[in-house]
Amino acid sequence: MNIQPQLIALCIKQDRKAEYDLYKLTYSYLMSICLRYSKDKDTASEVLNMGYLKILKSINTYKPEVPFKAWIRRIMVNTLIDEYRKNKREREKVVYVEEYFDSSNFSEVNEVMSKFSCTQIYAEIEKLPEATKKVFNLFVIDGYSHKEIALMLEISEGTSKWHLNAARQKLKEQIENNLLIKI
Amino acid sequence: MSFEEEFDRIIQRKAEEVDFPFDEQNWEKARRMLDNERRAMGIGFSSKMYITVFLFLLAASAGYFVYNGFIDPSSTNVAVSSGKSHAGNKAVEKENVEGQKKSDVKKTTDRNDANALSESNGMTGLQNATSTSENKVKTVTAASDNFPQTTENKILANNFGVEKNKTELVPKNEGINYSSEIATSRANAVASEFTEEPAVSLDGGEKTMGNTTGSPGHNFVEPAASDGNELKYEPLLVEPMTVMFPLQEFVATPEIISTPINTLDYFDEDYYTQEKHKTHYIDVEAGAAYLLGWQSKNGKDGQGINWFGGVNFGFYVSKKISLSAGIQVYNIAHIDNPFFNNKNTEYGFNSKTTQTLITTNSLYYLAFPLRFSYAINPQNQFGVGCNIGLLMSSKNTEETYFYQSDVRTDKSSVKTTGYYEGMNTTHVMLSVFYKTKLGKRLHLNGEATFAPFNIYKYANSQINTANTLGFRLSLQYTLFEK
Repeated sequence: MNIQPQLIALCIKQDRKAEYDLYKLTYSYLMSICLRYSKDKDTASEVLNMGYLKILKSINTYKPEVPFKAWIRRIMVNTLIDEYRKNKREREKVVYVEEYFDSSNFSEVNEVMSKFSCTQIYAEIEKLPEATKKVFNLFVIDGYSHKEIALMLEISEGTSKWHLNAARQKLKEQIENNLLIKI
Repeated sequence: MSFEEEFDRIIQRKAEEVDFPFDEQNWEKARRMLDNERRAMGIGFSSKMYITVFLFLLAASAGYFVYNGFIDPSSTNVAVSSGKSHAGNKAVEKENVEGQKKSDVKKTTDRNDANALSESNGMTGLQNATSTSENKVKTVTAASDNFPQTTENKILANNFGVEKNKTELVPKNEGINYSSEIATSRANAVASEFTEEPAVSLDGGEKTMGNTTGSPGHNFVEPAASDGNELKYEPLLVEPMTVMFPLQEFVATPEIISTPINTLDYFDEDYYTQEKHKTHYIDVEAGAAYLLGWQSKNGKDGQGINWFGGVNFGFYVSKKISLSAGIQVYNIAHIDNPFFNNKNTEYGFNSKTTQTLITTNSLYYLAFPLRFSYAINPQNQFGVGCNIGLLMSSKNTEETYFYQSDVRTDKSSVKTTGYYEGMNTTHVMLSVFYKTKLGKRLHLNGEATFAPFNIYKYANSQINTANTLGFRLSLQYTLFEK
């Protein structure tokens, strides 16, 4: 998939056909991000559209030296986090806890997980609690540091670390359970 | 690499491998949102324009109304010498001049020397252009000893209002002529004013990938070539949408790091790390003011509740400090004591005395508030301010008492509008205020005000110091903040 500068130029001019093409081209990628952060597909679709509007709104400020994919990912992640921050109830679930889960041996789990399909991985991530899921996505998949996550989610770094460990532990348990069910 | 890291990498790769089929329905929703957003933006812009124009017109008409308003259309010009004379004054002045020429009535004062007293007081007195014949008073004298003794002290009514009692100006000396000439010249003066870019690729084989955080070790990465180990970080050429994830060992490319960021936006690296703060705002304000009033011989004057309202435009100097300027209208009411007390006596077969009392019951100001605010936190702020008010109009009561041989024979009372020259046209108020947030756009503002200068420029009555100390309580609604 290529996003040509001409397509971006047309989007700046608010050409509807170009906007449609851009949406179609980026849909899968943006949806993959949204689904990781959202609790269900409907919410993910909703946030995807919101993020897409922001992309179109800001597209005139896009600089070609930055990879377009990275640029739209940043917008989408920020949109998702904005939505999360707006939701006070979800925020209340983020409790400052300084204790950590004991990380046990992941070797068996890793072996099993590498055979998992993408959809299965998504399904497992989706089962995580909201705050934990967000910390996990931000740290593991989108590469943010705990310091940045703390600022984004308005939690402490310690809480961010706790959520990450909790997510790993939970995923490990889920994968182990899946394995047991299969056996 | 620890098992945990390995675990993370598997998740990373698997998470990005997924491909979601395009959903046309989603696009329809996005298209509708896009249309609504663009329509709203258009409406938003025009609404802001309309609001701005409306506020401007409101302020302009308020100013015009306050300035020219309160004039009874049926009223005639009552005084000559205000600097704000309009065309009507010329006629009055002419009449006065004629009156001066025709005057053949002997004028006396209590000391049988009206001119001497008038001159010594430096006062040209209250001059009315229309009168009933029976109320004509030919002699103008200042009754009060308290009245300032300078030629500048002309307690002269502005050219507004209704008068029944005509007091012709009858000059006997230069002092009186001065009034008429100056009035004419003032009136005349006032009348005369008045390319080709590099392709952007989303291919899996792209050279740089975006970590959106910009933190060291988490930036855009150049993927390593695949070495067959699936746990290693590598470009997945098979999947077009595959993203290589930023990891500690990858280094950001310098050109991306140096990408200038002009504004803090969704795509900025500092979107969350830097707090976005507003730069300016417009709010409307309305409230009540309680003035403590001032002491006069007959008790407290000016004490009571008044109103005020206006618009403020502010800008944030920093996250915590803001400055604002605005336009405001307010009044000072509950004034019951006259600031002017004038007694004219004509001695003939028996003495005829006319006593005129002028009370400005309400004063109307157009003000320009300047405020300096410091935000203690997002909810509360305090500051100091200065309100420069210009007197636009006043509601007055002119009472005239007629005496014959010291026995009161008649009384007339007339309501007039427009301010007298004896009033101070500038009203400066200093203030300290505390503002607290009630809602997203609503603030409650408490303010203590002190006006260091007297509202009267010349007062020959029993007023001591009419400066105003008071408290204000208002609601401020933010129309716009960005």
